[in-house]
Amino acid sequence: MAKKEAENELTAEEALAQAQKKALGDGVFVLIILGVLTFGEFIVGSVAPAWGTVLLIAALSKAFFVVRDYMHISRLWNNEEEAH
Amino acid sequence: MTAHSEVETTQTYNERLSMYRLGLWLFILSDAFVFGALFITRFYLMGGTRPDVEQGVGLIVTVILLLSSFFMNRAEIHMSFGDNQKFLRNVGITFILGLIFLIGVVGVEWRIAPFGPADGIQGAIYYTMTGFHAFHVLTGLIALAVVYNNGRKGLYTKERHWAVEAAAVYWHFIDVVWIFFYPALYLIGFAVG
Repeated sequence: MAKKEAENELTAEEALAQAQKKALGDGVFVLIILGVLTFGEFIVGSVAPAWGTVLLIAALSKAFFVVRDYMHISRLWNNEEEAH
Repeated sequence: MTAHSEVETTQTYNERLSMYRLGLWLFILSDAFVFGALFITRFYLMGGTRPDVEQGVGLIVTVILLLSSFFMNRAEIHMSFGDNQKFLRNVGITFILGLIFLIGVVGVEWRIAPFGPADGIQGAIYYTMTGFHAFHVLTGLIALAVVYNNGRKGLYTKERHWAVEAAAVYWHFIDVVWIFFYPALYLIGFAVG
């Protein structure tokens, strides 16, 4: 019985560690996207400054990832899921 | 405290939390309208031209602010898993990067810009947009300093750290605003000569 409880506890700990690793990994993924888009913006802005629409689409894409993954806007309607 | 009252307290806290979140997002929305007005004003008044500013400096400060958002996200994650040391380290890095951004814009870019705030439309637009944003960065830094200090005292737990979440969301909002201001001020259009 005690062994089973210890095993369950370990599994819970492992699940937490995995969840943390995933959350940190998602942050890195978003940073890479932001970096690539920012560098792309800089290149476009340097060679074709009249392409305002392209630059605004890039900005909108960057904002989408920040609002979704860093600001966690979904917490507004998923309060039970991530209560802090 | 009995288990029953503990559950009740947690429920009450979660209810309050959902109200706090709604309040914060409403505040952010209202603030976004002001930034949106500035953004539209820039295109209305300058059209296909942009202020004559150094694009390299703009890129550097933008990368610094994006990095700060990344570290703030890590800080919040570490706190939500109860790791106070890593939380403090990441908030500290965020604070330093935010400070470098502020110095980069107000201390460097404002100094090297070949025009002043009173030099026509480009001056008015550039200094109003960056100045208003810089003021928000300053208030964000104050919020970061407060949560860092409270974290040092051990006031947050993985279950209860609303102030950390609020400071993080506010800091990311500052980042989102700059995501739009950066192309509007540094990239779109030909520099006013």
